[in-house]
Amino acid sequence: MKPALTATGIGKRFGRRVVLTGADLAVSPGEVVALVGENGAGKTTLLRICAGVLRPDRGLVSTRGRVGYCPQEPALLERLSARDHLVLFGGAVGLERGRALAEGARALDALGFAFAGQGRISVRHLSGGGRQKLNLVLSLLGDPDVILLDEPYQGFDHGAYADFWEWVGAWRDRGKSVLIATHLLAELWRADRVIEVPSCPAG
Amino acid sequence: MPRWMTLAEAQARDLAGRWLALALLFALPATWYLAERAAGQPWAVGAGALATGWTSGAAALFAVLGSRRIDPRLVQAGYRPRDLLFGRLAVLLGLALLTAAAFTLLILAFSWPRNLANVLLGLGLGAVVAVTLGWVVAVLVPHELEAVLILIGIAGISPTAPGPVGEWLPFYALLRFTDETRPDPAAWPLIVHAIAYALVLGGAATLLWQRRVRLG
Repeated sequence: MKPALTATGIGKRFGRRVVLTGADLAVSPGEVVALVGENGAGKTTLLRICAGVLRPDRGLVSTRGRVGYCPQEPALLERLSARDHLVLFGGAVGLERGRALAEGARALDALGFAFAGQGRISVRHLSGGGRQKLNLVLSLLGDPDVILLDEPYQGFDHGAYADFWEWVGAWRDRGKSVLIATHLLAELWRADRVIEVPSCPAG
Repeated sequence: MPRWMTLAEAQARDLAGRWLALALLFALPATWYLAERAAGQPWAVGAGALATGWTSGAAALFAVLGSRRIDPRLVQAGYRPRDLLFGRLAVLLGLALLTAAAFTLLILAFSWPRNLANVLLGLGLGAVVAVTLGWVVAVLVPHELEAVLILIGIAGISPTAPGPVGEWLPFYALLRFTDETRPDPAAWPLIVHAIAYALVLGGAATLLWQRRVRLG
């Protein structure tokens, strides 16, 4: 099956530091791929390039369908609430206010966020886990075809963590293409394929 | 609702949460004006007007800097850069003009300016220049302390810079229109000066900022 996400010959450097040299990957519909590598190997950089939030120095990325991207660090507006964020990000994918709130609240509740109680609180007052749950759910609004997740479970409690991996299985069953950057080697059995990003020698 | 309005609503809510900053936005020029007025200085209106320009520029600067991490993500999620641009500009210009209007009411309450139309023109044009100036400084120097210092420097040097240099600074039209120690200026050259400054600064800010948030 033709991949929904293809990255070929990706190169990236930050100043003198070479992070990626000729990285390739492809993720097909209905496939879960884990991206592993040492700290600083370039997993996050590669994921950001695949998501289109960072420009590569070399190489090409092509995607089929809409891409949902969950960054490692929640990029949020600190004084806005979870409700405000759902409306804001829902607007990006064409969801009207009511639908964005309904879809987001359902997903947040499923992760144990208790949207009815916490939905109107500024995100700066949420726990780290709460912010991360919101971060994940924002990337899933509008049912994307390609899902890029950069260690999305940081700060999750045990229940949310288990639910997250159940979701990953459900996405695979629904034909989504899932790419997860992870350090959790114990969870690699859940992926269909593992791609290791090699560390570049200091440049 | 158009997408830029969704962005504007989010930006407005974010700013509304900063009630102390919003209060200072008006309090700083008000304090400056009232202090100069109490001292009997003839440049009290001009000093307060310059402070409105500085605070409006600072508000724009912090709004852009505060969103620099979320902007690329919003574009990745589906917004067009121009949605973000229009939404944010609408809120920041609205806020700058509101500050200018509140300051006008204050000076009307304490001293009737010699030429009210000039003061209104100066404050209105100054608000537009200030927002674009704050935006471009935030894009060029994406660090809070350094960016604020540059903005303070530009505002601070404006009233004391020697003639030819002062005329090339962004707040020249604002200062000249609100300076009651000098004869009334010819309006059109100053209007053109302010509009040209706003267009150049706004254009530069838009180009640089779009490059930063656009998909790679």
